[in-house]
Amino acid sequence: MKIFVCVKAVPESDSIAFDQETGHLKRQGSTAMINPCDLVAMEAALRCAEAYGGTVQAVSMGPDSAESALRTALAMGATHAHLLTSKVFSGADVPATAYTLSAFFKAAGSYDMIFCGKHSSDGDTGQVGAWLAELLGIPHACAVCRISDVGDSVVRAAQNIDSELLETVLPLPCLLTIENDMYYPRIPTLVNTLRAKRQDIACYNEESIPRLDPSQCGVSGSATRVKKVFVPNRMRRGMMLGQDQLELLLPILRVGRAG
Amino acid sequence: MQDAIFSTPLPEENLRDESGMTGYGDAIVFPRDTAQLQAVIKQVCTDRRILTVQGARTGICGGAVPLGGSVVNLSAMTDIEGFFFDAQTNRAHVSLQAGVTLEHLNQRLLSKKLDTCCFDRKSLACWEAYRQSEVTLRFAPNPTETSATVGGMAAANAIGSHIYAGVDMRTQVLAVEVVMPNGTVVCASRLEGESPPLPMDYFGNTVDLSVHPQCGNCAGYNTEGDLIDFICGSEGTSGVISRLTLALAPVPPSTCGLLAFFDTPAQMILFLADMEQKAEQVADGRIVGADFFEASCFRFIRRMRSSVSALCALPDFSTGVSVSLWLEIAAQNEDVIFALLEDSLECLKNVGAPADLALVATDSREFSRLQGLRHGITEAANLFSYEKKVFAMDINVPKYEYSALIARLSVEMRQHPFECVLMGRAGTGHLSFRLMPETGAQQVLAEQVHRRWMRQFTDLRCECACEYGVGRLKRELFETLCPSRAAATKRIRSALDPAGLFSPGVLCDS
Repeated sequence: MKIFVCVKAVPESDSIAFDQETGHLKRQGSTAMINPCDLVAMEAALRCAEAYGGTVQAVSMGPDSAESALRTALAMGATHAHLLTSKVFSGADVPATAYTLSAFFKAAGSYDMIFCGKHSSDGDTGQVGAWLAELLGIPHACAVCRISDVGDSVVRAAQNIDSELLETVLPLPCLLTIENDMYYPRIPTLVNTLRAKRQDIACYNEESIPRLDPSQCGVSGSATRVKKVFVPNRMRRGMMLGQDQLELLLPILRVGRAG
Repeated sequence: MQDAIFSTPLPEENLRDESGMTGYGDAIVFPRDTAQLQAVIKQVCTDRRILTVQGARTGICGGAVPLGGSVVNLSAMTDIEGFFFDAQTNRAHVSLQAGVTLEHLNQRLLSKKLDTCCFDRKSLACWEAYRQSEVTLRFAPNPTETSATVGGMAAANAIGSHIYAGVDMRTQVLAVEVVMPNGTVVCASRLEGESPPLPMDYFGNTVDLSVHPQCGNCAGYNTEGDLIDFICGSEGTSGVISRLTLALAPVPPSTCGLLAFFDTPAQMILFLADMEQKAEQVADGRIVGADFFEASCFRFIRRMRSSVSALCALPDFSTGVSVSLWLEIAAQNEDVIFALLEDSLECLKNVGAPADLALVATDSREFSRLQGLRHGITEAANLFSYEKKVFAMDINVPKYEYSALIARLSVEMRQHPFECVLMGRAGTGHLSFRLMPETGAQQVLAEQVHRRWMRQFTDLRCECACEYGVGRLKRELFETLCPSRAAATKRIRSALDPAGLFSPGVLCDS
């Protein structure tokens, strides 16, 4: 069984900075780590492979710093890692990201399952997994909190939908988006960490992925554009009014209504 | 300045700390500054009332539990008042009131966001320089409980795993302001151009300090150093710390944690010695923390995991190991970290340890998870203490006895029916353990074991460690293992507080 896990490198929370002009995250120079939700997806994939036989490979789209996320995945136990990296891919929104990943998977040959984390800690859309599945034409299940059986052609999973469990059977290949609390991710071993440090990571750009249309990648392939990112101006001024002072509200309300 | 808060009767939470003891008292005051604190202490002296000092009440030895009288709680004294930073040398220090918690201080330093309303112009300029700099500062002592106040940490000479690198409160407190039991305010400073008086010079003929063995990390007053060394570790009995100036250190650019497992304590000691040699050979890399955990800790984690949230995030540990060692490695860059990790693999194989089991945390999340091992075990053990009597001991063992003693205790603990955990600060000779009986019969047995071990430790010339303080619960241990220091402590205490008003029963009888 061949399982792929999509992982993303996200900034450590204390090193997040935005480019005020483009509205994009400044990824270069920031400290990158693997997206926390993707760690859970990795753990789920590894447990599946251990229980039912198979291998786990990690895929990431991002700048060079995304290598750190892939090395973490290797240290946890992934056998191979793939990095899709090019200026053409940068600034991608959900559709453009999913398109680039789908082109990789179409070129990769066979796979049985693709696991994704619930959402990323920086973009936080939680949509790439589902979009990717649609582009690949494979069934997908979100909010997976249990995988109870993996056979030759199907997987049985439970989805946590509004606090109810929905038992689902999906034919393979399929894509599963993993709930955050499904597992605590394993801490890498020393041996695996050192192996991961030395291991080659396969890198791909727009020219090395067959049948990739660059115009559907990155900024040019994005249906949405971030206009502005800003910290909202929190107004801390205020007045405390007693019950006998309510008439002071009237002029404020009149101005609000007029506005 | 806002008025002090006064409350009578005591709120229930202020009758307890983390030791499980519950006390009693009449009133509690939360002063907001030194003047208010001084007024409280003067009033106490005038009225001849017992006074117990509290910070965040995170102590596990009952030092903050009132046994009558009034309580003065410093948790409202939370101003950060001054800051110094030299961008050329990265030297830095911060001045603050005693009620600031370690967690709060380090969060402000990490985020570089701070309420600077108390800062003068020089502090503001230094803070701005820090904000613009690339470096991140922290207060280096890392006791298990980060919600402790800095005043409480100083009073107990709190240590953490960084004691391995020689970091404790005594070495990191640069200045201190103390309200003495007689109501006078004393300031002692090691800042540039100043030197604090020696205890002998300060107290003069009023206190006999002449016979007091070398202290080190042992419990009791430190009379070998300066006045700051004396006040740190005096557990509030030499006065109430109101303000401190603390040395800050840059956070190392790269850090990782290694949790290695061993079949015997001797393997662990050999491994640590080998790793220390390797670290010395590598420029820009060093071991800054080393804690060990005996197999009893992992048995205890397995039992308590479902009821203590702090344990849930820990991995499942192998059942076959004897001891494990948590190493914190700091370096200038990742290449040095990985060079030391390669060395660690080689060292593990050389001592015959199961190298495949060793875990590594190279990012902050994994690091926090594994570093939380000690905190999780302590928190789980605290749950026991709320309902049952727990026998807690912290001792310093002569280095030549360390490995053999761990091995003997390890074998014996497996035979006892009650829960127990054994861990320690490796490299410093420190052992910390708790016996946690659950039934009446187990309690009788635990008491016998406790007494037998105390005799053994006395024969081995172990000393009572200052980790967690002596408080009330470890007085017997202190008096048994260090009789001459305990006697000297009592004499000094009687001279400082002749009426026995301040935290009676803490550290020694008044």
